[in-house]
Amino acid sequence: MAAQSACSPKADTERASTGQNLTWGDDADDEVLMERIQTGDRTAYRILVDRYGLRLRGLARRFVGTAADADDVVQDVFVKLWQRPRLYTPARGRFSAWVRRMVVNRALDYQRRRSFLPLPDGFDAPDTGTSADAAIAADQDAARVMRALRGLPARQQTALVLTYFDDQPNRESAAVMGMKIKAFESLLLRARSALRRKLDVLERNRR
Amino acid sequence: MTENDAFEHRLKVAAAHARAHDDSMDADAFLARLHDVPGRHPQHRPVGKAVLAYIGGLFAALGAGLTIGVLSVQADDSDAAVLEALFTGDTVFIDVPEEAEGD
Repeated sequence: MAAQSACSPKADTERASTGQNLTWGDDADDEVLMERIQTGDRTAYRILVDRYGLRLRGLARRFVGTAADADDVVQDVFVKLWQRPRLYTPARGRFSAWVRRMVVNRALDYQRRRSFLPLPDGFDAPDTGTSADAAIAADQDAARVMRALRGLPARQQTALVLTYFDDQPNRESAAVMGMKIKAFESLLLRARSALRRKLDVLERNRR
Repeated sequence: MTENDAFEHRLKVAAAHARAHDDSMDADAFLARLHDVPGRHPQHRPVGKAVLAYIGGLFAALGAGLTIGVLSVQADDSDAAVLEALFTGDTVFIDVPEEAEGD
């Protein structure tokens, strides 16, 4: 059972002039919750889990392929966040970008440790060309895109995942990767071209 | 539709497909697993300055010469973030010149 915070929901309002929601409660800003977690507040931790857990799981899945590995990646990050909350400081930018960065880095570490790239969950056998079922064809095409994506260099992969799969605006994606926005956009262009080439090769090999 | 538009559409369809599959996974069990973390993993408390001073004094007394080699990397991370990542085994995004970034 989570320990209740001794702090009043009306606390910290003196800093509200900064534009942040600094009051303590379910709608508190991430940065405020991280301050509470530094004091061992389990309720603040639970609020952050509910806010980000599933979204980060989806992000991790784009890199590691299997649901079990993605769950482990996100758990590793939350364990670290709980055990060493002082790793985050507002000087590192917004919490949302910082925690995504932690997940991406951890997922890439998982990916590198594997001696082979696993096929994604739900991957079907290669298309024989005889199926007329559009849904199956769409599933198979999505699996091919994921496979090609995971074959790209880590930075290109990350740029594409954040943009298309995590649906982040370029500014946020650039922050996650610790890049200037122009540099990120340039990387994204290169990544798209590389993915197209990769898919062309995969498709030529299927014929 | 241009080739670029078609490719963009293809990526968006693949992303929507992936997200739809995420929705089918057991969200409650996963969140419960994350909620359990504080019960299973005690928080680390920062090492006190006195302990650090003691360790520093010990090294000095032993006359140990420690050299930490710091690679010069072009990253937007601060040096402290890069060092921390090196010690914790995390990945550091390092800018690679465009021509060196292979497929």
